[in-house]
This record gives sequence, structure tokens and C-alpha cells, in this order.
Amino acid sequence: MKIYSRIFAVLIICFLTFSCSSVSPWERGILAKPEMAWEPDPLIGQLQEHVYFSKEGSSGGYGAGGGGCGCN
Amino acid sequence: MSKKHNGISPALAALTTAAMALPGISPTVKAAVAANEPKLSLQYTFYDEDSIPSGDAAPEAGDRDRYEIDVLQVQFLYPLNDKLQITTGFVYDDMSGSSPWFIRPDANGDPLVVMSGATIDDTRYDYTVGAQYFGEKYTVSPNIGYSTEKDYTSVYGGVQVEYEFPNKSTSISGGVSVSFDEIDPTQEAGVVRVNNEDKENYSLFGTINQVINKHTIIQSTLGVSIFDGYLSDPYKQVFLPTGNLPDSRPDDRIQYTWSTRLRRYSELLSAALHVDYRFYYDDWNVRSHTLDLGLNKVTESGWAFDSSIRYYSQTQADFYEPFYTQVRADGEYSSDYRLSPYGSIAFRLGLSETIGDWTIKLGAERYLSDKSYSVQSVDVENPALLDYTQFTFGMDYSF
Repeated sequence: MKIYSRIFAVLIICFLTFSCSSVSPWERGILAKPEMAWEPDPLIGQLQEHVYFSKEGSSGGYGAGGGGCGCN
Repeated sequence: MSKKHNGISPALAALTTAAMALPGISPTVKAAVAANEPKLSLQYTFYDEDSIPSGDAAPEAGDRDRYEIDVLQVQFLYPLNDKLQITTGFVYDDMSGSSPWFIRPDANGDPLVVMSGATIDDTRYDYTVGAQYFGEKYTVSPNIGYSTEKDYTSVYGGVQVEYEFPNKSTSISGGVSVSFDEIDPTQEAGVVRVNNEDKENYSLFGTINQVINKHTIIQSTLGVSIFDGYLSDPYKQVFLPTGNLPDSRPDDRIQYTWSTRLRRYSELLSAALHVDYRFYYDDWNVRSHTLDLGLNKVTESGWAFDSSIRYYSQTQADFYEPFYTQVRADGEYSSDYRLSPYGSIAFRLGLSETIGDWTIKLGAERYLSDKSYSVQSVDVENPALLDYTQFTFGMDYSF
């Protein structure tokens, strides 16, 4: 677990110390592009998360679609 | 396809979209601001698991063909006004095939899969209703859902709240969700199975979303999920020299996740680079790393193209063995490949075109798993590890 703890700590520190520049509203056109969305296609994302939730030993983090299932 | 922006920043817009994907938080409500117009989305997927290789199957294995599933997804989004929208979703799964039953050793002590004797046919219906209220600084999103199949029902729901800081570059979100599931296994002569069991799930998450610069945005989420109740698979057994026993897992499980996502737009490629990483840990001692790298491009003529590669690696649960040589004192057993140590690689491609009010979508995914893909060395591979292919066709229509 030590190695994972170190990776976790380093990534947290990197995230917290990220140099953020002030971005004015008129400079945000690129950020609003559809390809910059976290999930460009929600239905496909929902399906993929449900498959991974059903077929792998871990789940969550950025979502599983809907409720549980008797998937085996 | 057009959206009103209502002065909400890209940070909050992106956060809302991502956080909605959490369990019980409506996966069907994805817009960050109320839509201009109603939108209907339909999607069909053909999911096909590879058969168990003959060399990995016991002679008495039964049908080596695994699941084929037809999936139909329908979603309808209806804006009531510029502050409130309703989304309803429906999913229909029609599945057929065999499933790994247990694993036994061959004469050399190597594991062989024995499949469920008969082809399993089942259908699943999943209904969701969600709403989103867009305030000046807050967005509130409740949802409820119900999923049912021949032997399984699940009732679930959740709510999340997002807040955008005055600098409009940072936003935070938090949410809770619950689900109550009940299983009533199909009984089979000569096989010992539980009759009726249930389980509960409670999940909590917190997210921070930050605009880094005019090309880059990042998001990080911490989550915890608690399961309580019957967490075993009633259709699986484990091999013991003294005779098979039912799959029997602990009746609680706590899962922790930390995920971080980055989106960076490349002027050179006129495309967005997607980087997603998730670390997962639970108290069954399963740990996993998931890394997803993608490239998304949308042209001015309405074509959109995306490709991605996903890497996944997990360790085994404490009590997992491909087969057992002696009785365990704690009475916990499972030979489920999902609790075994392995890694997987998935390749995905997507293509869509928007013409007027219509968007037509095509997608494909190939998923391969193997012990050699694992971060850590694996001595004995579970012979039931999964490979699959899926193809998707969908369309959206904005009224």
C-alpha cells in the first residue's frame, strides 16, 4: 500500500499546486466546445459504465449507470 | 442541439455533466443548463462475449458460448422552462448465453471452467426519472429509478448539489445515492441456492472542478460506497475436494475511489485530449487502477470522431481462489473471475454526424483481459476471464 499512498499524495499535491491562470469569460469558447465535455456522449458513457460495473471487480469513481443488476 | 448558457461557466457545466454519472445520480440527465428544446435519444447496442476457449473448458463444461446482449436505450429530455428540465430514461436488455459456474483443477492442477448447464435467457427493464433545477449559483439534481429482471429488482435514487464560486473558474459538487436490491434466484433441481436475499448500497461523493487555462480543465472526485447484505452470486459455486460449495462472500463491502479527469484542447490537432484516471480500493482488498486516454474531434461540418484506449488492472479479493484445496475457517469462498487478479485493455471508436435536428452515431469497442495485462505478476490466471466486442448505433432528434 505504500507505493499507492505515495502516488496518491504526489498526484494530490500536483493538483493542488497546479498553476491556474485567470481565464476571462470571452476566453472560454474552447472550454465550451462539445469535445471538451467530460462525457461527450452520455448514453454511450452510461452503457460503458454499466458494462464495467457488471464485469469488473471494481466500480464507481466516475459513475455506474442506474441501479444494480443480477449480471453474472 | 443548441443550449442556453444562462451565464453558467464551462466549469460548472462540465462538473454537472460528470457528476451526473454517479450511481443513483441520474445518468440520464447530462445537460448543465436547461435545454432550449425537447430531445429524444435512441441507441441500440449489440454486446457479444467471446466463447470460452476449448482448452480452458472442462469436458463437461456445457455450452462454451457466453452472453450475447441486445441493449436498447431511450432517453427523453423535456425543458419545462429555462430553470427546470425533466429527463426520463428507459433501458431494455435482452440477454442469452451461458455463464461460468465453477472452476475445477485438471489432472495437472491447472484450472478448467465448468459453465452453467443450460443457456440463460433473461430481460432487464430499467426506468429512470430525473430533474434538474438551475439556480444562479446552485444546480440541484434529484433522480429515482427502478430496474427489474426475472430474478432481480433494484430501486434507487439520489440527489446532488453543485455550487460555483464567484471566480467562475472553480466549482464543487456533492451527492448521495442509495439503492435497495432484491434477488430471488431461479431454482434448479439438485443445486442448493438461496431463496430470497437483499442488499443495500449507500454512496457519497465530493468533486472539485477547476479551469486551469483557456485550453485546460481538470476535475477530481473522492467517493465512498457502502454495500450491506447478500453480495454473493447465487449462480456460482467453488470447487473443494470434499465437494462443491456455494459462492459465499462477506455481507458488507466498503469501496473507496479517487478519480481525476483532464481535458486539454490542442490547437494543432483541433481536437481535445481526454485523460481519465481512477484509483479504487475496497475492504475485500481489491485495488485497481484505470487509465483512459482519448482524442475527440468535432468538425465544423458536423462530423464528430472519438477514439480511446482504456487500461485496467486489479488485484484479487482476499478470499478468492480459482479453486480451493481446503476448507476456509471464515467460510468465505469465491472463484468469480471478477474477483481474480488480472488486467484488461479496451479499444473504442466512435463516429457521428449532425444534420439539422438529427444526429446519427456509430460506435465500437473491443475488450480483452489477460493475466499478463496486470500491473502485478499473476501466478494462476482465471480461465473465465472475459473478452467482448460491442457495436452501437444511435440517433438523437431535437424537436
